[in-house]
Amino acid sequence: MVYKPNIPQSNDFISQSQQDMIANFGDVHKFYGLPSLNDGDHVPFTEGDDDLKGKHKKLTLIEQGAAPATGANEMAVYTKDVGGSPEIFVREESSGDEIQMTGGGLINMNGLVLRAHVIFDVEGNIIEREILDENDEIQRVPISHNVSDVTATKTMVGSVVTDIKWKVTFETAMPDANYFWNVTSFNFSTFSGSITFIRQVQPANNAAYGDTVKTTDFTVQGITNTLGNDYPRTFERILVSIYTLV
Amino acid sequence: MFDPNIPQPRDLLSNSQGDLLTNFQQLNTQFGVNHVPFDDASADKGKHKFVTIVEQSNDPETNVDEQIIYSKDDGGQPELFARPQNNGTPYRMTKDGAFFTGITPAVAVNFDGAGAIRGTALNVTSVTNPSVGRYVINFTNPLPDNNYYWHVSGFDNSGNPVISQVRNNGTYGTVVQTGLLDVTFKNQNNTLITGLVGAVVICWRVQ
Repeated sequence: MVYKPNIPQSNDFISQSQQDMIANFGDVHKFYGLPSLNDGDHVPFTEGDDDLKGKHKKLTLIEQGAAPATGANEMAVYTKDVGGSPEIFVREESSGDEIQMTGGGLINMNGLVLRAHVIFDVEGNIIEREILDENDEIQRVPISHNVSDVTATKTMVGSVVTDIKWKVTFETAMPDANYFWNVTSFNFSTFSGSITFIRQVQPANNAAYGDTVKTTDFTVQGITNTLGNDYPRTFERILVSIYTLV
Repeated sequence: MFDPNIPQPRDLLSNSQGDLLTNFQQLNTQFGVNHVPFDDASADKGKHKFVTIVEQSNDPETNVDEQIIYSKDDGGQPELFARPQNNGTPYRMTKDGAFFTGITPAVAVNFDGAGAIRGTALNVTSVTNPSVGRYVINFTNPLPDNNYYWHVSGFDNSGNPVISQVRNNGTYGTVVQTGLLDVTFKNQNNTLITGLVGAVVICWRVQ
């Protein structure tokens, strides 16, 4: 039964008003919120715990056609379509600027979204860190996001490694290959008085851009003029992060 | 106006009728400001259209297993804050018209050896190539100052290291400007390279 805001009328019989009012109270109770998570956004009016009454379980934001107006000293949180999907926005006071909070399932860092990151060692093993789970037990989790694998490819001359590349493969492909990368590394170095050592990790040298930078993976290379006998200590930690525009 | 104290046991029915009518109307109208109203015909009844957050003078309290989002005055305008459970330390969500992440990207560009921009850049009007191995990233909107973070990375097809850096033969203020960043790509012999295949420059500023 649909909520009736215009009852009771002055000439309604009490018997009719009783039905209308009980139906209205039922609708308010039902659509404001019921105990289960997926029935309404609010803690129910019938909640037994006074500390919870009046609060939200969750916020379901129906996509708006335009940014809502805001008055002085207030802000608004809402969703609006961006490229076919609703994204969360915030609007400043006095119908001011809109701030896009999300983009493509990611948090918008004011123009860029972090699409992938990984820390790995010279063998391509993704480094793990320890966290406490909900049972306060230690779990080891990889320091990575959206990276399924890092594959090390070594070039050998005899038993000596003379070149090394790492292919960082994404779990979910990038929208295109025009993304931004950040590559850095910790390189072990020894110095001799007569030899200049240069060691760094950089995007893999290739004639074609598309051989290094792909939507499915990104290849980096350990570049040094003296890889040889110092392997595997030469490149101890390699850090890669990938960004795109929102 | 909504009256929570009706009907009283001594109220005349004729008065109660008006009071009840007003209350039901107000429930629906006030609820409908931020929510899909109770008398909406769709299945979206009860959901939020948008949430208007009125500026608070203090940080509201939180109990265990809950977080809150609210707004508070900061420098004369409301900003969004969040507070963790058990009256945890509030943290900022917005600042000066932007999502607050502490450090925010200000410039990002991917370009080829000719300085042509690949795809769409963030706050970059052009990349010029004034001489071999040297590129100038020209910002669309200048940064507040020249104390920002940068990352420069490029590669070629030489098999040699490509040293990607801000140009190191000028003063800081000529190379790192509010409106541009001057970068070079050299090989291991400190020679500017000719065959840059691809490069990325990202700049971050503190919020």
